[in-house]
Amino acid sequence: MRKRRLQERSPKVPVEENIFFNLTNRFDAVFVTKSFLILFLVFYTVFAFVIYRQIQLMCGALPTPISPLLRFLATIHIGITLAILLGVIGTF
Amino acid sequence: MNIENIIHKTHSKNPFAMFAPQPMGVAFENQEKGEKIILLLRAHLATLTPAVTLVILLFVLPFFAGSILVLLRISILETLSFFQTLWILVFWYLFTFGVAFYKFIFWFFNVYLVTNERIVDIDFKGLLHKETSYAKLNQIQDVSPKIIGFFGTFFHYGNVYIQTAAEKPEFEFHNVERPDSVAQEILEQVRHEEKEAPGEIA
Repeated sequence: MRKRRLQERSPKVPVEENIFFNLTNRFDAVFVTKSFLILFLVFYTVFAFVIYRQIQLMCGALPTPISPLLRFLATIHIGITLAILLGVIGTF
Repeated sequence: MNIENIIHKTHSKNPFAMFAPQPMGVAFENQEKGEKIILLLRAHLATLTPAVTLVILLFVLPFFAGSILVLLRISILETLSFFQTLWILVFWYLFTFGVAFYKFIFWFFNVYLVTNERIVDIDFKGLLHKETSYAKLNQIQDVSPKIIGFFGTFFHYGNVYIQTAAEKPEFEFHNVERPDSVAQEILEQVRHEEKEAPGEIA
């Protein structure tokens, strides 16, 4: 009698309908990879901007013949980072 | 040609030089009129070995990524399409470039200068840390070069410690090439400065 009551209170849920399993299905490998990639790229974009600013400051403190080249590389670096970030958001 | 002649008679055109006598096209913030850069010093290339090794490791890692993931029993590559894997690879090489670029600018902008008026230590300690210290030659009290360790002895690089009466009591030129010649040159410039009239720039 007591056993039956317990069974009524906690009916067996099929694995596919279990909320936990549904959640794990939703957060599949692709979604997790894409989320991590976007997160890293956002941080990386900040890093690219900081490098650009630092190069600007250092080129002011110590102008050398390759200062324009370094500024150009830092700008290209930001451009490529942003392009990859947008690409990953749009097409991954 | 001895080292003294090299320092005084040559003009370095190499922008990446670690020991550049009278470098061409280089100036610095707050440089006075008539002030000449006699030596521009950077850390010896041998000190970049760990950074170069790291970059090479990062570069070759994707070639072994498949095998490593199989060993770890992670089958993520099977679930990703070709283009998704390509995006990851592109990001990885961007990251590798970023690390290499950061290490390079860290080395390139950490510069020590000996001018005919003062010594300058331009430090780029981190992404958000820039520091410049100056000491006039007539404030220099003691200069001592030091070569330590196997690599230092083998590649002939080391530290130069400069005691000053300036705001910063000790300057350290880290891992510079030919520290003994650098110390000798600083002392020679100090002797020159002592002969000059106060305030004269020559």
